[in-house]
Amino acid sequence: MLHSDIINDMQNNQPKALALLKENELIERAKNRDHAAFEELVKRNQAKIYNLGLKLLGNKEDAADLLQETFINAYYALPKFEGKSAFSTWLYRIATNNAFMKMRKKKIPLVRFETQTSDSGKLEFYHNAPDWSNDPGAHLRNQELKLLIEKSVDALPGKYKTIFVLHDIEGFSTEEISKMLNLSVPAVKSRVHRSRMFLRDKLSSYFQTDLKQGANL
Amino acid sequence: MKCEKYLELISLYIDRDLDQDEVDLVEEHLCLCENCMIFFRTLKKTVALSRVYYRKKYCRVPKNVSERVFYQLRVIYEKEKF
Ligand SMILES: [Zn+2]
Repeated sequence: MLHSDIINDMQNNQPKALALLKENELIERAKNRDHAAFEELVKRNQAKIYNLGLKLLGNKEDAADLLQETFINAYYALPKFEGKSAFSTWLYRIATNNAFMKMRKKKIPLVRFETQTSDSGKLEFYHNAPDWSNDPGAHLRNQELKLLIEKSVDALPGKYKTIFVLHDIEGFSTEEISKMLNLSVPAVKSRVHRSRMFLRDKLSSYFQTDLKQGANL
Repeated sequence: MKCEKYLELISLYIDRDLDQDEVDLVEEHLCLCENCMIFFRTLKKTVALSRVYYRKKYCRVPKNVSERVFYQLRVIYEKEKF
């Protein structure tokens, strides 16, 4: 049976037929307020948005709220979607904006660093750092290190954290992120860099203490 | 060029996001400057460790969470009818 025959065959069997449609076909149908088509788009993308919520907001309740708000906003905004970016990039854009609103409500700073140590222009702190890149502790599956990294990423200002997670954890390109967040590419690059500097500083302190303790034994 | 000016270039070097001239510039400096070499190694390790450790677990959307989204959408469809 040909692919088109299968589709025709399944016209009466909506759920299966929709599952076979390409994303752009679903988008066209959903724009014309085909609810089943929109719900198929939700099904295909909900895990991505939920997991982004968990990473950015750190708990299931907020991730669940973020998921719901994102798809409700997407439903209303869909007629304006022009297909200039991938549909998932467009969804991430809505989701990150919602995440920023939640962070603002929780009084999480969005762009301001809380500590002075993150000032990337300061040479002394980076010149005095030990070379821990081959520290055995950095290779093991180390619960302490995991907690430190989660705590440190969570301590980044909201917009930096979002850019760091999208770039270094999720693997989006700086161009994609610049479209999602309405920032220039150099601004995205510079924020990735500053986030890394901040995290490296936290890790350096951790390994430095570790090295000192080792020397005292 | 001062070390300070190399920091962001080193970050971009890790991402292979530099043109050949800049790559040469960075590599030449890393050979000459122990501090920047340590900076490069530890920054690279920072990125690698974050990738391994930061909430890497992929979660399925809980059924009740997903159902709530579909329920809310249906409420909206109903409103739109009027
Ligand atoms: Zn140097």
